[in-house]
Amino acid sequence: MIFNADKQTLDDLNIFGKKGKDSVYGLFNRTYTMGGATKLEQIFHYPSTGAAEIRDRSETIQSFCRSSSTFPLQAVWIEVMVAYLSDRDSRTLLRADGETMESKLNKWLGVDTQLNFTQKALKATGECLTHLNAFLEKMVDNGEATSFQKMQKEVKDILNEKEFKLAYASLVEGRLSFEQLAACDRFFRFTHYDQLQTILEYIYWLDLYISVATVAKERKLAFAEVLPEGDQQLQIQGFYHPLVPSALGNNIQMNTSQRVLFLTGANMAGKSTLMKSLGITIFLAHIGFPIPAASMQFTVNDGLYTTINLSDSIQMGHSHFYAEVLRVKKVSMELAAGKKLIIIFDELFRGTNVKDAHEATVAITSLYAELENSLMLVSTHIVEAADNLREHCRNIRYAYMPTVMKENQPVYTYVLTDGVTQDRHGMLIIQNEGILDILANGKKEKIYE
Amino acid sequence: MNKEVRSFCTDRQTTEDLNLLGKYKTDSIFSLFNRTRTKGGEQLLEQYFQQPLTDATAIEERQWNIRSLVGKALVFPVENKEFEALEQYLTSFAPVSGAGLFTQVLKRKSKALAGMKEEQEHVTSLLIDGLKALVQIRDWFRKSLSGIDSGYLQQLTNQYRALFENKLLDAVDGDIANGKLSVMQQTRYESFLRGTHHDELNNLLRHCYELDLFLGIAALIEEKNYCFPVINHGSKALLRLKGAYHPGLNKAVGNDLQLDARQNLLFLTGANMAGKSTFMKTIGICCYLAHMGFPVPAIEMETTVYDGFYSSINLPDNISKGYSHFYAEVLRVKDVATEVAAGKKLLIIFDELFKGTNVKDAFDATSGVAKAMLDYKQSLFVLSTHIVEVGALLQQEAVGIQYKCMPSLLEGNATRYTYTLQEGISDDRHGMMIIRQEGIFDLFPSTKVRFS
Repeated sequence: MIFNADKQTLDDLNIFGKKGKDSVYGLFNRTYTMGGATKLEQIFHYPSTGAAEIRDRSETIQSFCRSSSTFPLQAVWIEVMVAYLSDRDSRTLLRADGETMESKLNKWLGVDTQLNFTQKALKATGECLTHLNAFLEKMVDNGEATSFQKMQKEVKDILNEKEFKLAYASLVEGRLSFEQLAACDRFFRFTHYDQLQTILEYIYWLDLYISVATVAKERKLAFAEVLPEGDQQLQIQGFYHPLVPSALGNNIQMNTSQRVLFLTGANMAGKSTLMKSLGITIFLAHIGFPIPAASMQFTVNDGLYTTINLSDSIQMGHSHFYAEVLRVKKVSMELAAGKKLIIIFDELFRGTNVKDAHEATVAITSLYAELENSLMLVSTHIVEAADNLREHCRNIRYAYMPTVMKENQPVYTYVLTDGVTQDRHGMLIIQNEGILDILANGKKEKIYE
Repeated sequence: MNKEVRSFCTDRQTTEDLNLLGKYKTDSIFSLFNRTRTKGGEQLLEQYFQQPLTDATAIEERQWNIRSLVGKALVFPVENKEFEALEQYLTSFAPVSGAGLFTQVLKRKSKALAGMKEEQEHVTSLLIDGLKALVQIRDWFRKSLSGIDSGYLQQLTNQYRALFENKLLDAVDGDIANGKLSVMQQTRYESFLRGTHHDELNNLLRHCYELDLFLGIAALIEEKNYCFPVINHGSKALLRLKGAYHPGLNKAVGNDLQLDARQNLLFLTGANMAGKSTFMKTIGICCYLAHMGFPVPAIEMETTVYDGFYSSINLPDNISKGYSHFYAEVLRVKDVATEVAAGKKLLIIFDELFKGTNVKDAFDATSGVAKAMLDYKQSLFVLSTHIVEVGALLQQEAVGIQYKCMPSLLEGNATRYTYTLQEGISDDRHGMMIIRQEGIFDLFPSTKVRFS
C-alpha cells in the first residue's frame, strides 16, 4: 500500500526542499553510498506503508539505535564494486589461456588498464566482504523477525559458505597470481553475481538504517507506536519542527470525538509552523521513521493532504481561490472513495472575500467533521467561523497560538492553548516597521490647483 | 551609485509576477519576443529585458528603428553556422600586424605539413565560413536593405558602404570555391579581418544582432495587433491604455485605463476569477515593454517615462527566514514605500494587499497605505482588494482615486465573466457557488449539507 502524499504536500512540508536548502530528506541523509541515498529517496517518494511495514521498519531502526553501529565499510569500495559488476560482457573476462608475448609484456609493464582495474576492483571486493563478515559476526541475533533480519541472515549464509569465503579471503591476502585473479574474476562477476547483488542490496539498507538511526540518536527523536486497526486515532506529545532551531513542543489529540482542530492566532504566532511540524511528524510516522516528538500513538491512514503554500496558475487560468477549490475537491474525492486521510489546511480560502471565505470555511469544516474517515487541522483568520461551527458540530476542538504584549512588542509563546483568539497585531507590525511614517515624510509631489 | 539612479528600478519579485524573463519557459514574455536567429541577437534581447530604458529619447529611437522595419518582409539571411564562424573568428583572434600575421600563417602551414593538421584545418574552416557569411551580409545590405525606405537601414547601409566596397571581398567567391586557401590568400584575408578592419567588423556584428532582433519583433507586430506606445515628455505622471490585453492569453479582452497626476490610484475590485490579477499583470507588462522601446499588446498606449516599477502579485512566505505570509507582505510594502518616499517616479501594482491577515487589520492597513500613497502624485498606483469596505471609506475620505471593477454576471446557475472594466466598486461574490459547481458537496450524498 502506498501512503498518499502528493507533490503539494511534499512541497508544503519541505520534504525534499529546494536545491541548497534544508529539507527533511537532507536531515536524514547521512548515507555513505549512492545506493543508500537512492533507497532513502525512494522511501520518501513512494512511502509504502501499512501497520506491519511501519512496525518492521521502526523496529529495525530502533535496534540500530540501541546497538550504535557505525557503517563498517568504505564508500569507495562499494563504488568500485558497483562499477566493476556493471560490466558483464563475457569478452572482458580475464583469460589465463592463450597469452601472447605482447600481453605478457603489457602485464609486466603494468599498462594493461583492464587488468589493473580488475585487480583493484577485486581487492575492494575482498576488503568489503571481509569487513562485512567481521561486522556481521559481531551482530547478535536478537531473535527479531524483521525483514531486515531475514535479509541479514541470508547475507550471513552467503558469506559463510565455504567456497565463497575462501574466494574473498584469498583476495586480501597479498598478491595473487594471474591465474588466481582470472578465477576470482569469473567467480564474482559471473558465477556468483546474484549473491553479490544480494549483498550490495543489503549494504544499501544497512547504510540507510545506520544513517537514520544516527540522526535519531543525535537529535533524540522518538518512535511512534502503531495502534491496532479501528477508529481513527492520533496522539502526539511534544512535536516540533525538525528544521527550526530550539522549536517548542506541542501536544495534539484527535479521535472520533475530536475530528477537527480549529486553529486561530495572530500573524507570526506560529500557526503555519505548527501545521508543518504536525504534517512532517505524521509523514515520518507513516514510513516508520523516527519522529520529532516525545511520543506518538496513531492508527494508520491512507494519506496526508496539506494546503499551506498554494500558488495560483495563470497558465491554467486558475485564480488563487479556484486553485484552493480544486484542492478541496481533490481531497473530497479521496474521502468520498473511503480513504482514511489526515488533512491540513492553512488559512483555507484566503484568496476570496471575507463573506465567501467565512461561509466556505464553515461549510467544508462541518462537512469534514461529519465524515467517518478524516482528521482535519484547519487554521483561519476568520474567528467568527468558530461561532457557527459551535452551533453545528460537537467534535471540533478549538485552539490558538497565543500572543503576549510586552511594552508594545508582541511576544509569542508558541504553545497551543485551548480556545479561540481575537488577537490581531497586523497594524502594530506595520507600525513597528514604520511604513506609514516613511510615506508621511517622503518627497511628495502634490498638484496645486 | 550615481549610475544606478539612471537604470530602471525593478526586482525579481516583479519580473516573476509578470513572468517576464526565462529563456526556457515557453510562456514567458521573453520567449514571446524571442524570434532571433543568432545567439548574439538572443543575448541582446536578454540584455534589453534586464535593462529597460529610462530616457524618453532613447526609447523613441529604438521604437523608430523597429517601426521602420515593419512590413518590409526582410529575413536575416545567414545560416547560423556560418555566422557563428565569423563571430568566433573575430572574437578568438587578437588583432595583429601584417608581418606578424604572415609568420603565424606560415607556421601553421608548416605544422600542417609535418602532420599536425588540426590547427590549420580549424582556422581555415572558420575563415572560409566566416568569409561566406561576410559576403552574404554584404549582398544582403546591397541588394535588399539599401533600397528600402527606412531611415534606420539607410543609416546602417551608409555606415558600412565603404567597408563592403573593399575589392578583397569581390575575390572571395572565387578563392574559396575549392575549400582551400594559399598562404598568400590566407594572409590577405586574415589581415583584412584581424588587422585593418577588425573594429569595424565587430561593430558590424553588433549591428547584425540588433537587426536580427528588430526584424523578429517587426514580424511579431505584423502577426499580432501590437502598437508602439506614445512617449509623453511631460513632467506629470500619465498612463493611458486603450484595448490592452495579456499577451499570453489567446482570446484576451482588451481594456482601457487612464491614470494621471489627478487620479493616480486605481482601486480595483471584483469577484474571484473575474480577471483582476490578469488585468494588473497586463498593465505591468505593457509598461515594462514600453520602457524597452518595444511594441505593446494594446490598441493605443501613452505613457510618461518612469524610474521604476514594482509589483506584488504572487508573494510567497519565507519560512527559512522565519517570515509568515503576512510579514513577507509587510516587508514588501515597506521596501516599496521606501522607494516611493525617495521621490522616484514609480508604477506600483499591489494585488490583494494584506490577504495574509485578518479582515480588520487588512482593512486598516489597506486604507492607511492607500491614503498615504495618494500624496505621491509623481507615481501611479494600482491596488486590488477583496475588502470592498475599504472602497467605501476611501470614497468618503480621499480624492484622486479611480474606482473600477471586473464584473461578473449571474446567468441562471452559472457565472459569466465579461473581463471588461467597469466604473465603480463591485461586491460580487460567487465563492460558494464555485464550490457548489465543482460538486464537492455532491460527493457526500449521505451527509446533511447545511449551508446550501
